[in-house]
Amino acid sequence: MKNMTKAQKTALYGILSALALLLSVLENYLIPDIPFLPPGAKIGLSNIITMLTASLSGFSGAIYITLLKGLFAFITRGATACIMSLSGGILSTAVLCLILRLNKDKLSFVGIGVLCACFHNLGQLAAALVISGTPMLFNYGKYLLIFAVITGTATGLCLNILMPRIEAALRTA
Amino acid sequence: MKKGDYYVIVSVLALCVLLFIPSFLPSGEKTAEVYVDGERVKTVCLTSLKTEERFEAAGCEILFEKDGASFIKSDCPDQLCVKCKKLKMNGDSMACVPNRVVVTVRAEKENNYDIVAY
Amino acid sequence: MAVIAAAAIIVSVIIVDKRKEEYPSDTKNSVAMGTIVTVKVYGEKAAAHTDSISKMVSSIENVISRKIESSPVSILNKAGKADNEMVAALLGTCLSVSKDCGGVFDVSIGAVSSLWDFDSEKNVVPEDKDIKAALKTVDYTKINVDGSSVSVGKNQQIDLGAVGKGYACDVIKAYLKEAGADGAVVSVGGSIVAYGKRNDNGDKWRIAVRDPDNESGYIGTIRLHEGFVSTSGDYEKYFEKDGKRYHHILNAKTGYPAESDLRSVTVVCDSGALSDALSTACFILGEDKSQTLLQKYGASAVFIDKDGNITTFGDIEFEKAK
Repeated sequence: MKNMTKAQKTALYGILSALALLLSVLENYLIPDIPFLPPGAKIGLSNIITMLTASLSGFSGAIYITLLKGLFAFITRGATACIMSLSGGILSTAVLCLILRLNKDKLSFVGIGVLCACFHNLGQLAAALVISGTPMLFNYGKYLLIFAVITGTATGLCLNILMPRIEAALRTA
Repeated sequence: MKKGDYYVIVSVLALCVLLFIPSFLPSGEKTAEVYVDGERVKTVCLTSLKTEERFEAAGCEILFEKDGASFIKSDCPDQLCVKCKKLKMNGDSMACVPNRVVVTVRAEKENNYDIVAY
Repeated sequence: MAVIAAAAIIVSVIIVDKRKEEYPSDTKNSVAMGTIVTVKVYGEKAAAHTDSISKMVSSIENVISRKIESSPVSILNKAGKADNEMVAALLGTCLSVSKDCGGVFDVSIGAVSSLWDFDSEKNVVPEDKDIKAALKTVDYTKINVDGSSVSVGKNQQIDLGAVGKGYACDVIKAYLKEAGADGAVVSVGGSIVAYGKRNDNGDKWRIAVRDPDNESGYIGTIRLHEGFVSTSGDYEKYFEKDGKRYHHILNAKTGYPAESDLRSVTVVCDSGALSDALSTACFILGEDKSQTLLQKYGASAVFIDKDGNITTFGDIEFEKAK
């Protein structure tokens, strides 16, 4: 990213933002509540973009995407959705960037994706607990974690495959 | 995928298993129910059994013990019910299909009472 | 491979965990006598029992409620006399308890109850002079029962609110017996009747005693094969003014809510109306003075005082909640 001009960076961020929001919308519409799933469990497709942005431009880029998603949630789905998105998003992004800084080849995006998903859920549960005042919600935690593993692995695998190609494309841009 | 990924996945799953354990802990009374043709014909409170109890219904013999219930004899040809291990956990069920006998084990709700006086 | 195996285990764990855990019984709730009637029957024909019981409770209300204009009790309160077997029987029990508790429990308290009017949620403390005036009509010795004929003193108002639910339990037990039910436990607004077999293993019924500070919690369970359980507590109907709690258990001698060091009393005995009356009387009398009263009627009780201490009296199997 360092070698890009300002214009190129702006364009790239534009694309990434659009993708993040698009994926968010897609997964909300395409996947109705499966009765099995606890309410609030998501596939987290937009996390692919967050992880990608974090790899390319660190914390500042990733947090920008996270805040954008939160704002989008506020505009389209209301304050609660916004809080849910931000609480999970910020925690998840913070962990994501921490791992990227510390990790030297020990984890591929799969491991990172799973951890992101877990912390996203944790952040959301904490927010839900504060809002509703019910500790009982933690009962969902065990179910959410399992889905975190599955979805994190899925998004991680996607990025594992895509990342080299994206980096190659950016280098030759 | 790298080695570290496996560690992450396994640890998260292990955490899940830990979280699920409480639902398997004995929670008060365990009861066994026997249904023949869809009708409940016997209810036994397993946890308050002092000795084992046997019960016969529609060609099957069922054994009730403090920790669970099992089919010990049946006149059915496939003997699947008898081969099945003892039913111990809440929700465990086994049926002797030819004889239309079903045995279910239930653990009662968290509430250790039948009704509240107020 | 290990991951897939682990995932498979987790999935099956979820499936088992999600199964509903329900005790084999048929519970049905309905509303009658201004409160919730819960019927839990172990055996067949549960639904039929519930409907019959609910109707029964409503018809009892039509006889003993002073808020229903056409009820025999209302007629009694207006005309000074009435003829009704149910009312007469119930009054008989109440008079007996009044005698033995020194009159702190007295169903002729109607005029005073009307002043406090707890049901209306007006939440006003009546004037002392009004209470004193109403108190003049409170005197159980002026109630006369002769067969099914009942008469009361001048201006006396009978309020059977304290014993109505317990009495309904008595009637319900008779019904269950006649209907040939194997066993059931019924709650009429918190007054309980336990009847028959709980299950094939001869286990006792478990009646939880509500925690005065927590609507959805309980402080222990009473175990019995058959019997009636009633609780009187300062948390059921009350209002607070200027930092003081005014609850609905009125001391018939003072006209004011009983000043007791108790939060609740739960009485167990072999009659519903009696357990209701006794729990009210014991709450007013306090733990020490209740003992003779309970002994006389062969009843037992669980006391919870303002410090949270739980004590029992009599032959009762009570287990504190963990």
